[in-house]
Amino acid sequence: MSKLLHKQLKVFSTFACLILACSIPSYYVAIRYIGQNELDEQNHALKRQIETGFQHAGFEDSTRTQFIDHWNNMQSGLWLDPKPARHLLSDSVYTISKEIIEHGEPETERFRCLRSSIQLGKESHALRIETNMEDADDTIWSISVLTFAFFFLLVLGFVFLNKFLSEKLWKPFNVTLAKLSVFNLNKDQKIHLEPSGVEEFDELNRVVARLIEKNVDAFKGQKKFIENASHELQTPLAVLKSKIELLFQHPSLNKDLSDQIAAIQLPLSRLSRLNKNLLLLAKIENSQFEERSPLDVVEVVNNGLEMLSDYCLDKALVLDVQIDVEHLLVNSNRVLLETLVNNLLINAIQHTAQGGKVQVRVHARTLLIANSGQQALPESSLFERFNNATVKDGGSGLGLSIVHEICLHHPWQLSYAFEENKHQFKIQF
Amino acid sequence: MKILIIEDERSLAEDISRYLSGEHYLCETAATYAEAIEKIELYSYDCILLDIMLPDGNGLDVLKHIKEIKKRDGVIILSAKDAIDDRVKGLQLGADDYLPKPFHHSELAARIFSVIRRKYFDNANVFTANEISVDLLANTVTVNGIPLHLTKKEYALLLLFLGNRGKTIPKSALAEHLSGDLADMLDNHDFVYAHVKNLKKKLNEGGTKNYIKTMYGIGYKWES
Repeated sequence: MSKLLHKQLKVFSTFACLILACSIPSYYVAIRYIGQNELDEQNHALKRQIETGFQHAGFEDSTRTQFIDHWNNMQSGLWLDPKPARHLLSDSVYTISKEIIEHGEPETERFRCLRSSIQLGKESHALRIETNMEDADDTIWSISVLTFAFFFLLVLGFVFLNKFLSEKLWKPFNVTLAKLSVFNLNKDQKIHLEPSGVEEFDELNRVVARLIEKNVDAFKGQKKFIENASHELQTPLAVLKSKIELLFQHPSLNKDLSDQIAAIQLPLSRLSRLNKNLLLLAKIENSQFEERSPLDVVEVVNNGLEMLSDYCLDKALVLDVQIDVEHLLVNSNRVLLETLVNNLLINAIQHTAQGGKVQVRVHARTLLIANSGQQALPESSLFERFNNATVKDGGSGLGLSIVHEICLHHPWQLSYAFEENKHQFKIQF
Repeated sequence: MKILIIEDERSLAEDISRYLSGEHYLCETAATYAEAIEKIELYSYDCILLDIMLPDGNGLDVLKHIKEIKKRDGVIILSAKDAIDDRVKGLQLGADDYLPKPFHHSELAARIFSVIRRKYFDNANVFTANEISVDLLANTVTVNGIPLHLTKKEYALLLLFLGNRGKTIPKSALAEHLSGDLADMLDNHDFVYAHVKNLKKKLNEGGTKNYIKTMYGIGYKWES
């Protein structure tokens, strides 16, 4: 892609080149015309000079012929007919080319001629004046060289002016661009575009600011909506759960009824889990976990493992825990850190087949949680909401999105790799 | 024993009341801050269940008021799951326990059971159910005077059962009691079976009757 100014420069240069190229023949024609006129005038003046010269000399008719012959021999490019003309010749101008020897080499030169007659005594004699003209090739060549020299200067000037313009004139634009490029809708930033004093840029800034404001509002509204919606869903969900539990206590409960109730309970608990995760996600996005304190990752990992030990046992998972450090202190929010670690652990436990392996590693500043698996997961969509296969297995489809969001929030570096048949999630604190 | 349920969602308050009323609890409800303050000032309760979000005030202010008028009522705060601030503030203000919403009724019953016993049987805090005695301070169990060695989880299960005698406790409630919040992130609660089986076995070996009944595969019930 080329810069706007380069495009402009290209067009300007092409145009200048075209115009200058056209100017070459025009100059040539103009110069030739002026040159010819000048020569013609000069030839006429010469003729008058010759005429007066001969008249003043006042030759006898008898010697005139002889004298003219001598004179003709002495002059080059002038020829006076020694014999009187029978009738008076009218003036004519024309151009001829003839070969002359110059520096020992034959060369074709062009001559401007005047054919006229001068009055000597009673008789008129034909006179021919030939004046060497400027060579056409030479003229064209000189004009071209000069023109292209100017063209070169012009382009040089354009480049220089462009550079100057892009720095000076386009500065407000670049400032706006720089501000926009670091703007992040997620970070709840305010953008302030200063007036530049240039109408177009100020208009641009106004439009951009308005656009951003609208987007920020829409984004905030959307996030708030999700939070409010899931918050409002909490109470009816709690009521439903509570009613179901009371149903379990009903004296007329029998096998068939309890199966039915249990069948309601499962999707209900998924629904409430989904809602809980949505709410959590919205709250993280709305920066509602800002309170930070130094927390120990090792402690959180150990707690999570202890809480989940029954599930590991149940699935006969091989737990391979290796913690190299005594403490790994990070500045975080307890809810967020616990959610992060537990979600990764639950994810590993949930997606490992019976008897599979779950690996937990804590090194200097990294936490690695891996579980055995069959094939690599698509990394691009792994952390997207509701985009994985886990929804089918009863997961909320949000666990890894929450992990991703928490890492973004801190920011910590989260990466996924599939190595040696293991899904590895690594967090660099 | 008297329990006050301060909860603006009437349906929930009624359910709790119905669940607890079965045995030896007498429940009253209050749906607003004003109603709650009035009842607290007029009567004494063994345990108050306190929702933080009230339509006309904050539950924490109710708690402050209870402490100001020097009532000894036990208080369990019920609040939204992730409101960690409420938990810290509530416990600092002198609440006895905190239960995030939504909760299982059986879990609540178990919490009430412990709060009341911790509160009112200060020194000799031994609870006896037939031939089983539980020392709630020392966390020890004896059957007919002979000590019974239970794991931490088996002991926790026993307390849950004793706090919910005659109630069907769903497996998910048992799982949550053992694994905390994390249990509701997972659907499979089969591991509960192993712990219940072990507890049953130990109780039987200790010489108790078979109190723990399996309820149609949905949960368990302590029948005495």
